[in-house]
Amino acid sequence: MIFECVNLSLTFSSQRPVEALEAVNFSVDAGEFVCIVGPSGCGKTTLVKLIARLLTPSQGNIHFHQPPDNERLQTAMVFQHQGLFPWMTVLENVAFGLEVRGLSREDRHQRAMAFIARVGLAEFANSYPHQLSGGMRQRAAIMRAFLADPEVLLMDEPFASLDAQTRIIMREELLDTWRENPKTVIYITHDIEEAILLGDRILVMSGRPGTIRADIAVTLPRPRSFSLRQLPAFDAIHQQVWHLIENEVRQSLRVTT
Amino acid sequence: MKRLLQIRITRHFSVRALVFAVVLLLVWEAASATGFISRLFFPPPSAIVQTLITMTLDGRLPTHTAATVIRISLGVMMGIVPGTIFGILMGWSRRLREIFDPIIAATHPIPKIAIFPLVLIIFGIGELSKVVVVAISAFFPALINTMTGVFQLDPVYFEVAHNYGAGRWKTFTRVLLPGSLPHILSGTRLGLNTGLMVAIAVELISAKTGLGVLVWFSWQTLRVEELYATLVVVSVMGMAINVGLRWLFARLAPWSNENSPKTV
Repeated sequence: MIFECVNLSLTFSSQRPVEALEAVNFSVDAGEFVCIVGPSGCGKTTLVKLIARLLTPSQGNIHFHQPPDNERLQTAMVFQHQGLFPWMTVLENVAFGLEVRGLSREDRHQRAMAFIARVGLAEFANSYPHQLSGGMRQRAAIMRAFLADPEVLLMDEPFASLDAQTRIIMREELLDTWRENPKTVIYITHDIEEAILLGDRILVMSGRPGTIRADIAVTLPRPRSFSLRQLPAFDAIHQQVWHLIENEVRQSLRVTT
Repeated sequence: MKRLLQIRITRHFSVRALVFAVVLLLVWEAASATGFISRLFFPPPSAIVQTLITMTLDGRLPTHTAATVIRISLGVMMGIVPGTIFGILMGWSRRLREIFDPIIAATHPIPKIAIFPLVLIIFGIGELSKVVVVAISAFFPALINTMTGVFQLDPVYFEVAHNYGAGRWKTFTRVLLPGSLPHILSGTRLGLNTGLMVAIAVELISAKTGLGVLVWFSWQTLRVEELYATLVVVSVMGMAINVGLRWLFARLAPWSNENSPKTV
């Protein structure tokens, strides 16, 4: 086990307190790829920000198996968008984690370059994010997180703002990178297909307040690709997950319209 | 011909614009020479150029221009530096913003030239008062733009920095400062432009040297050509400020699409 969430709750205290998460419990093993699926507004992002320690829980705890040390980041997060600093080149962005850790310029740029080249961004190393396509930007953001070599990699719908075709390629690329650099990953998505394709496990969340409804193991063989969708086992999991969140999605539509 | 007109000399300046300006000057020249418009109010451009040359050679333009340039440089420095620093602090701290916002909202709209008499009382009739008014007028745009730049910075950038373990200093130098740099620079540009306006205005009221003095003197003696010639210099100064800063922008913030600041 690499970390566990115990009774994690968060209430946003404003004029009307909002219970964002209530009693979330789960543990993650080292090297696992865990996908968290749920309808929008169910607290997925809140959960992952808690794990990243960008938010503090009102109750409960996140226990990491290893005590924190200064040498290694516990988590590195890939954000949905705006994750790259617009004022840094791709190279500087990817090397940011190493820069914070105090590596020399030459050293960190050399190591970043290797990661950048791997995803075909070598000729854009000195470009600024606004000169890249959305897909290229997310590639760079993902490389930054891998290069920082955290204990747990957090991804908050990294491909949500990309078009469907780019997303297919990016998922497969992510799986390749992950195979070459094994890592514990928590991956947030609202896309059930994506969760099945990527994950060893799917945690299904429901909202208001956010809790974990189900913990589903995905035992499909790896390496996986887009063609996985033709397997009957894929369909079975898809239906199981959809069944769990369908009601809530319908309800939220009824409430808002 | 059409092709030629579309050629751009710089990103902001095309052959078309140049041709239009030249045509306008030619029409003016002809209208003034034939007496279609009064030579007294609108002397022909050729006469203005002649006057420019004369005033440059007899040393009047260089002397007065230097006085104005020094006044603006000193004043704007004294205004922009504290304005920017204070703007960063106010953008950073919500408490500071809450405390100072009303004061700034109340003092900012006062035309800075209207403070001049007060400044004269406090700092006396001399160079210092003029520089102080220019400083005050440059202070506000620098402060307000910088503050906006800092507190409008997307919080996600601070989250990224924090997530990767960046401390306060790293966050300041690698996130806050570069992130608000485009706004800081546009504050500087506005500060300089306001500084130029106020410097000339102050010289109109009370000074012995400066382009404002030259403007006022040529009005009193009804030397219209000299009036125009001086205004040409003021205009060139304003353009030089903006061209120079645009160059600086592109150097310092090449990532920013604010790289093409609108001219005031």
